[in-house]
Amino acid sequence: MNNILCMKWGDKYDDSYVEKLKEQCEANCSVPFKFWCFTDKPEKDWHIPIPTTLDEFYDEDRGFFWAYRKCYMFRHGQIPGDNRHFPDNSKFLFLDLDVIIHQDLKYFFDLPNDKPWIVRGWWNDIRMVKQNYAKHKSTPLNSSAIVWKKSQMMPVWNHVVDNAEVVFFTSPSLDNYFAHHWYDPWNEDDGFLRGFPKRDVYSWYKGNVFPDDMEKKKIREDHKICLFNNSTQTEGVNDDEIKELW
Amino acid sequence: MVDHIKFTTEIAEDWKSALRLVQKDDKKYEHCIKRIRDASTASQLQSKLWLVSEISKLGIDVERVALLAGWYANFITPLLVDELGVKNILNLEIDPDVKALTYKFNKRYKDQDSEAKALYKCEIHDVMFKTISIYGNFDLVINTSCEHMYPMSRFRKINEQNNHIYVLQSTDDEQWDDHINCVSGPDELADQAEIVDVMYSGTLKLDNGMNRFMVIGK
Repeated sequence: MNNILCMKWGDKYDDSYVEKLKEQCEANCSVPFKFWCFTDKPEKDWHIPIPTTLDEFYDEDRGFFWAYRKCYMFRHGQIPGDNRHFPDNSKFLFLDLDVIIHQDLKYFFDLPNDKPWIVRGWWNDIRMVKQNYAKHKSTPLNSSAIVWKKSQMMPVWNHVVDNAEVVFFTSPSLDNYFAHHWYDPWNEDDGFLRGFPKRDVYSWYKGNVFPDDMEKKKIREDHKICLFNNSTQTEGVNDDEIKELW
Repeated sequence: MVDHIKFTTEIAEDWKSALRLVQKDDKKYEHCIKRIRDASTASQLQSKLWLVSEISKLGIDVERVALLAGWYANFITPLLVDELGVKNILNLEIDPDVKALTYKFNKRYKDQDSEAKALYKCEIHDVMFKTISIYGNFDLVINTSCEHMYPMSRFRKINEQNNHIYVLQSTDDEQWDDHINCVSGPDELADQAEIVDVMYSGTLKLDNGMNRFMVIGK
């Protein structure tokens, strides 16, 4: 069973983003799938309430590890208070709300599933990634799109829960946490997570592949997905540009 | 008072080979040059001289040292060996690039032979997530990077079976975004590490203007 997940909390994005993502998935996926939205305001039958068990570790003033709610998706058990059950052969594709889908999402469900997949931001200069590694800056990963099969991401969930205080204190972002604990920028094939190949996913604001294809604000329709995520918490920064391109 | 580092012909040779590595044609370590410069400042040396001076005054007998987040350990390793007679130093770092470079800086201690004064090793190891007991016991645990990491209470918790003496340094300088755990002074630093037997506690204003705090104790 294929599942496409998204997540919406707070007021950064309005409901039109969820509806638009659902619409894009329906128009660009040639295999059957179910669409789910983790949300703090569940209203529809495809909404899943976001748990709150990790809230106590988040310090809003510091803003570290601010995308921690995505970790709830990685639990293979049922969400408390929710009666849906994902069969053991379930596959999951998570997408951020601010993406544009260009190609058939079947591609992501057909990927070898010996490891989970995540966006490797090929637009990053790997020298900067290494230079800033110990400072917990310049992560090469981007959690705007993740693919995994059921239970595969449980070690991540367990690690976050078991080390929550340190993780929330030390990791500026979820992507940074992934890069330090579940990926190896020095041996990119050896990590727990595997990056999508070059030219699958690109960034509207940052480019495509460093250093040769770095033109920003350029649509590349032969790629699978365009990200608008700019790794900040600033609200509404992308609104106008992505809505014009929908 | 230790006020200088012994710049021997061996050190000169090792430091030259570290610089040669970052200047190699393959450019593999080219991005490390700024960090080497930052690790080689007068302030870096000042804080390490202060550290060995105070340990020396306390008369602590030290054979094995665990260096947490010791970076290239270019200054502290010769100071520990020459001034305190340390025999075994293990540097636990999270940055894989550090390993090759710190082994160049400290090559004379890397491969122990009959004439070596001490043995130096570097492991890639996140000390806030994994115990260091897998490497044996240590007389001294030195962390001069406390401002860069979670409070040391966590380290104590995952290494509670050991009876180390801690030597900790930190600062109240919050201007850098990687200073994620600044403290107000040595008392807070000791509190964070749950040190109850304080053998030394002090503050040093470095030449670069930064307040440096240090606590030694159990």
